[in-house]
Amino acid sequence: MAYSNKVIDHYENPRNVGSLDKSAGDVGTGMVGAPACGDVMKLQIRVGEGGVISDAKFKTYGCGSAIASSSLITEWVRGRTLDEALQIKNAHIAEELELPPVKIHCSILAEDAIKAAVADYKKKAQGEAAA
Amino acid sequence: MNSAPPDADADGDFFALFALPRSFELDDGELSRRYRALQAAAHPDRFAGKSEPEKQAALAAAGRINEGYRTLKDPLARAAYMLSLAGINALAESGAQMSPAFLTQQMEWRETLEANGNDNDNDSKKLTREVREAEAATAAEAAALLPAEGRGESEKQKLADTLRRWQYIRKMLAAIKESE
Repeated sequence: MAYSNKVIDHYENPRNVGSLDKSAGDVGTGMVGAPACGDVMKLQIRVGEGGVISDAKFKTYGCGSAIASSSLITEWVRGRTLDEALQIKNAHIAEELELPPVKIHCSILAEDAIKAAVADYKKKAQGEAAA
Repeated sequence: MNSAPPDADADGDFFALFALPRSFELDDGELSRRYRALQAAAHPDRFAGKSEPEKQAALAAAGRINEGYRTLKDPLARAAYMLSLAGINALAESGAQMSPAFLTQQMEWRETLEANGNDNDNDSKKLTREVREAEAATAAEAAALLPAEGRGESEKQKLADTLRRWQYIRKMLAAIKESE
């Protein structure tokens, strides 16, 4: 199976690889995995004023498509509000990266990761508001 | 010895094919012996002079024997197969989510492996040992829930999760091997 040039580009030059402090109050962490292929993906967002995502980092251990999907989504969510980030669907990622049907689950993983990161951030924010 | 090929369309499961009890505990030597005997009985050479349908049947039987052997020989594949006999395909693509704690552990292992590189022998051995121990513990958890047939739904789901964790650990072991 041939990877598209966009997948190869993200795979060879992944954007925003790294970690944010997961205990920080303004950081949301999403950790997801695909049991069938053993992939594990961590996606973190830092949320600034007005609920705008100021930074995003990822770490993915998996195939090229999973790395490319998470790399792309970190680019896309920067500068977006949380609600806008939640509008990103796996179909957008799959289309942008020209993923073949057998690799669609990699884009689903990235969508799940951003949802999990936003949920984690919101949970923290609510906890702080209640405290 | 019977000259007919083993029935490829048999409704029986792989345990029946190899005439072994439907049990997770399995005699490896016995499995291999029966595999060789079945394989010999279904060998295409034995059907060289036979009709086309007979040849096709022998070919299908040989394929099923190979698949059965691969499935039963490997403990994880065997456990997943036994759970599939109870109606759950644990390792298929699905929305099944692993616990965050488990995934964090996987991430940490991967990071440790990456950080160790090649020049950190003691740390590498420590990681390998830890992952192997995790595999043994996970296999034991699975064994305690097998056979899956006749168990309640929550136990089956627990077994499915155990097998998915086992699959992850296998991938980790493969990554360690690759890095050596």
